[in-house]
Amino acid sequence: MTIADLAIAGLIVLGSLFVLLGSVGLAKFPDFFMRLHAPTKASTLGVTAILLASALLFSFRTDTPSVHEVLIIVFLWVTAPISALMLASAARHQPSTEPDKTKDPRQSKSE
Amino acid sequence: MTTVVHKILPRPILTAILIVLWLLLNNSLSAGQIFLAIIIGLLIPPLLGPRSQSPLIVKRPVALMAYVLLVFHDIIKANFIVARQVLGRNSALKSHFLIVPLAVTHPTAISLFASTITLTPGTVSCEIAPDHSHLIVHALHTDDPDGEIAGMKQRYERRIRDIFDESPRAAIEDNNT
Repeated sequence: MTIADLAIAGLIVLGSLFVLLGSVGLAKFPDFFMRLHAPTKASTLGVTAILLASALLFSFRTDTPSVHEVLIIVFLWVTAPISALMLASAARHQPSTEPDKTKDPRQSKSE
Repeated sequence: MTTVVHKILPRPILTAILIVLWLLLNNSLSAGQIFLAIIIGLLIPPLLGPRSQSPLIVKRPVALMAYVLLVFHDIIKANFIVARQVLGRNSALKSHFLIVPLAVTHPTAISLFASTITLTPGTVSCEIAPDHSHLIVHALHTDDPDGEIAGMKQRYERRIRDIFDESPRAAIEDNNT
């Protein structure tokens, strides 16, 4: 058990916890917009931690730096906010089918 | 002569990025992969069509690096805040839509600002006004919506304007509220 193994294990556990947290948030928050918060943040960071662990592991195993994971992280971080924005925009233009818990005194303004 | 170069290489920086990305994705520097990378770098940029906007130029790279570090720090912090909210009671959350007037004008700067808002504590950008005058942001929990708006303008937008040296937009904020 080397320090690298410990770091990799730690990153995997941390990442899994964040992904779990993101999923719990997705399931339990009361309305659509609140549900968006958990996956955009927690899951993004969780997957990042797992990918870092993968990059470290394969860099040590093969003795050549493994960079795919870094690229995946970059793509993930660039695209996550955009998909969240698209989902939210679509939801705002759709009559809500579930009770909306968010107070919005100026809802009519966006139309 | 320059027009020929321009036809083949409409966006030289994009071509370079594509070549580097392809090689990194394949983790290889073999002749075959380099050949493929160059083909991709030459084929994709012309397909994107003409630019609709003049490109935004980074005037202060150091400020950009500092901004990336700041946002990274805030993202880590955001996760612990969201973790607490996920585990707490739903009824304790007071979520709001915020209307954030935009001072940045260039589409790239707006998209950087909106993405930052989504990745940082408790807020997701939901919509960009068609005239680019404001963002609609959803806050998961806030006691002070106006303070929240002022906070993100101060913390992120001011820095983005600094990076690109953008001049503030004149009093458009008053016309839209």
